[in-house]
Amino acid sequence: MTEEKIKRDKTALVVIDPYNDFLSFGGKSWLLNRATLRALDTNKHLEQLLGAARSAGMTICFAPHARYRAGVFDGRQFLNPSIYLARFFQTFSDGKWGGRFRKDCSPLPSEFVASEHLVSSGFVNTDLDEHLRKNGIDRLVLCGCLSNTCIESTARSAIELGYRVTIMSDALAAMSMADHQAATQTGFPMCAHEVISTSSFIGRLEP
Amino acid sequence: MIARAVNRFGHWLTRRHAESYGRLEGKNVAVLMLSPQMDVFSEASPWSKHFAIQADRDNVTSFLGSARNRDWKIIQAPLVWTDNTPSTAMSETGYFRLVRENSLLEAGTTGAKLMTDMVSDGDIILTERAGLNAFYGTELQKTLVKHGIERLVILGGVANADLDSTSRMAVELDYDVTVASDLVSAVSKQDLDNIMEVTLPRIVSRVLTGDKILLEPT
Repeated sequence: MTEEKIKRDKTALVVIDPYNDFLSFGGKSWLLNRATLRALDTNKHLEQLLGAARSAGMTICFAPHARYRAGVFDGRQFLNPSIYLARFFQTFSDGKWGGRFRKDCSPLPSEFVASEHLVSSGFVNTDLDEHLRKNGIDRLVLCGCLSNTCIESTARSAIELGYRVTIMSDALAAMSMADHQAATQTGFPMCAHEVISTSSFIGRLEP
Repeated sequence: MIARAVNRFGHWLTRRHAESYGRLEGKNVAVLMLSPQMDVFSEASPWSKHFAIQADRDNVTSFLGSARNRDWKIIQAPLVWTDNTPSTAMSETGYFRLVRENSLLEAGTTGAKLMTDMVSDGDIILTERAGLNAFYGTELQKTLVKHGIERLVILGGVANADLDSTSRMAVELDYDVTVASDLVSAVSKQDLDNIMEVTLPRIVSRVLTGDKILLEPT
């Protein structure tokens, strides 16, 4: 059976939280993410994905987590574990190296960078949905960080909003292999239409 | 090994932080009961063929009774599907494929009806929804604001389906979320463990058994 082609005019590649703090040696969460980064060869696959999507003229969006700055979480009464740790360690510090996108995963000037999400979903209180709808997008290809938090939360929001969701199996990172496996075994089957590899994505991308 | 130690330190920090929130006290606590329906809990239902882990009906009913005695507001959130809902995109994902193929929770059927022994006068019953997230397409958020609710205890439903999606959204909306780990259904023990031991502890304030939630001082 021939696999369905990925239509470049209806599909957006959404890169979630590709910060140095997550993806680069020396980043504040790099040590935790290292096992998955190495096992999946995440950075190489993210670079390949972006290259293929750019060559095909696909819509590319970046969905960044809130960068740490003084008072960024002041409006919240309850800090969930991920926000609490982000505040404690000042992860993705605004203006610092850790709060910048990894060099090979940075947006071009023509690419859309959504407003920052404070918790996990790239859709909640951001302009991502508005931008995607304006561009006639009905299918999302998700990659980046972290498998069972921001990636899965964004996918769960996306299906409620009516998008078809593809998750890239080897362009992800998580704080442990157990976290990544929890997402792939248990979470993604509920919120993604398919989970495919970078090479499969590139092979199915409509020329 | 260093990564595991750092990970454990992170979990310890967040547990300590959640304890600093204070307890589940007073009238600002609501219990959100997902899918309190015949197909999920009735003995005649084929639910058990598909879900190796089932929330025990008596334990859920007893938990809800104890919660009412504490003046916690009970909100019932039924889930159904019809020929036209949910959207095509969602119909093709795991949970809705499973319930549709097996005719579970179909709107208008006996299986989609509420369990009478789980509902009591004074409970709030939300509009039936065809989605995993109980905040979408329902009056849940308005209801919580109207009643001044700040803390949610979530139970029922399926661990990696509606329970996970709804818990994540509740956190996004700045509620203090506690999940009852033994009062839910799951397709497998592995699914339950992945959700309750790995994923939700990164997202919600507390993952506790129903008994432990009730031991929290009021």
